[in-house]
Amino acid sequence: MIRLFSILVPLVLLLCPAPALAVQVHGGMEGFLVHVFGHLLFSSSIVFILFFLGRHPFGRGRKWTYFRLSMLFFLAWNLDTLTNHVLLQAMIDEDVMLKGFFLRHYVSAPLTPAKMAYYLTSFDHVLCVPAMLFLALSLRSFCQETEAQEGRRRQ
Amino acid sequence: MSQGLSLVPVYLVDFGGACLMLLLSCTAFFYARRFKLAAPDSVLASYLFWLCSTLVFLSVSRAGGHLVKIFLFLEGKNEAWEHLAPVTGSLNTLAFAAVAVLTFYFPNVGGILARIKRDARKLRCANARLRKVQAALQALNQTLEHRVEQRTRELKASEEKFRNLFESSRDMIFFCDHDGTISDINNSGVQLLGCSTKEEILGRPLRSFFRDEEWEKYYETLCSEGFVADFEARWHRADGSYAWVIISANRIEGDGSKCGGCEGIVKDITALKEMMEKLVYSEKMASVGQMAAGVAHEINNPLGVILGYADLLAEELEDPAAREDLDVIKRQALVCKRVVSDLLQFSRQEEGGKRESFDLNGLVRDTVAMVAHAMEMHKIFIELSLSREELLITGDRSRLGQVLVNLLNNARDAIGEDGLVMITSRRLHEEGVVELVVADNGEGIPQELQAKIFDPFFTTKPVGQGTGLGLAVSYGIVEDHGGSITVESPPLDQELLRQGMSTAFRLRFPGQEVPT
Repeated sequence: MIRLFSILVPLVLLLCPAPALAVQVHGGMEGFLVHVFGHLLFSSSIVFILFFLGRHPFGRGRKWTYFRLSMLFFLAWNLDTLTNHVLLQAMIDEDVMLKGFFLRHYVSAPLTPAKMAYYLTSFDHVLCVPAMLFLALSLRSFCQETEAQEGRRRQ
Repeated sequence: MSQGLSLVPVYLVDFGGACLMLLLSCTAFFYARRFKLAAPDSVLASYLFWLCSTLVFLSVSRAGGHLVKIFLFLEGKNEAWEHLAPVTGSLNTLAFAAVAVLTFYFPNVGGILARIKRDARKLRCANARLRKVQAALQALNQTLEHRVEQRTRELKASEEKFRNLFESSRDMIFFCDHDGTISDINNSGVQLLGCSTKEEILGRPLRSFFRDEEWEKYYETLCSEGFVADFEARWHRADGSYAWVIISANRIEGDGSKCGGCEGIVKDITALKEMMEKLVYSEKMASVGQMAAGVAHEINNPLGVILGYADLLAEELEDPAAREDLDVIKRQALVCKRVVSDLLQFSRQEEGGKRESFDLNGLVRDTVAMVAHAMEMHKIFIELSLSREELLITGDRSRLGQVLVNLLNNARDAIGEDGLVMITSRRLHEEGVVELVVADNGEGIPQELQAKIFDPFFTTKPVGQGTGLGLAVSYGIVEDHGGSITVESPPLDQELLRQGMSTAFRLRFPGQEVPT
């Protein structure tokens, strides 16, 4: 899979030539797109690792359960934030009022589904905090188990 | 609410979530580090460590950004956030990429490491096999070392055994190179060849000790047969004397058909040879003595009758011619009588006579006084060099006087006219004998005749002048006295050589110590 990916990407880049400027200006949508691609890359890597662990399980137990949960939450967080970024990009400045004191910041009415979705997806910490929590729990389990094995081996 | 949905809850959740993210990411990093330290070789541990590190970076970037954003909003500096947002966003993007790269490459690294582990396992297996082989080789090496040590010990013992045999052998053992030069020889060989050190012999050709005809025969036999067994030869010794030897030798095979040299054992049989010669001589003397006694007895009486009647006839005959014929008969009969007398003397030499103790020097003086006149008539002078002390011996004085007379007569015959005879005497304390040497400056005795001069009836004098019994009788008398008589021509004594002596008879008798 990785090999295919690593072959396909350069191939696509080679098949789609474009004039390269010595000093390229990075403005407009480029930053947004890069960030979105980052999220996609992050998401695809999570899908890949989950798929890989499914095919070649390293082991079983709580630590791996926590790890998988963490990855799932990170995937969900990525999709959430990706959606949020895309929605925000589709909106105009008046849809989300960020002027003035922060208590007066709001998503302006009328509340369309897109705006509602934007609003809800803005609570992304609801996903990324559990993801990090499960990762920490998973690592704690790994650590404890390994240290216990090391202790037994030393004994 | 009429304006829309307030973002304050979002900010509150962001604030709390950002704090929790920072806390949890640090906690995850803490455990990831411990996990990595506990399992430093684990790929999973490395992956999780670097994943956590990246997520810490993401948390700091993102949560920090959120916190800064809230604080900026609180301060009313919204525009500042607009400048800062792209920075945090970019950092977040970098973190995403890093996480993705790590995650994509983790299984690959795992695969590589798995392959490395597989290779390592193979290496361990190979290493184990190598250890086994090494152990086997070590065991074999130890066995070989043990064998080599054992063989070396055996070889050393064998070498010592044969070296001891070589060095302590009473017979000469020698080794020659392909060119016939002596490459090694034992001490007995050094003594046999009359040398004092081995170095005097090493490198010398073996041929130099042989007589030419014997060497050719020896070499031919060795080359043709490959060995020489009981080869009798007379060797020249370094001191000028000779030694009778028996040689047993083998040819050493060289490269191809070449002779690599020879090795052999040489036994000195000089003493045996002399003893056998003496034995043979004694036997011969005994036989000749018996025969002589019989012949003398049978001839003596008729000779007496012949001489008696010759005397009677001489008184009666008056014819001068007849008397001359009768004188011839009487002279020849007297010659026969002298021969018979010698024969009787020869045959009676074993009988022994009156034994007494007397001074050998006195005997010499008396005998010389008796013959000096006759010698001087031939211009032969006798020079005495006698020891000052008395040389007492026990024996028959008259018979020993006869020996001396015989030797002086022989000297006279050898010199002819105008010569010198030297008589020396001395006591050899170490050997307990007294020695008398009678030397002359006559014509000498050829080497090939020296072995025969003591044989009865052997003479070089013209027929009628010698019976060939003088030295044989002398030999018998000396032997009867427990002494020895030898001839040297030329003399071994350097002093005699300087005096021009050509022949010396050396007589030795058991000496008596003179009472003090």
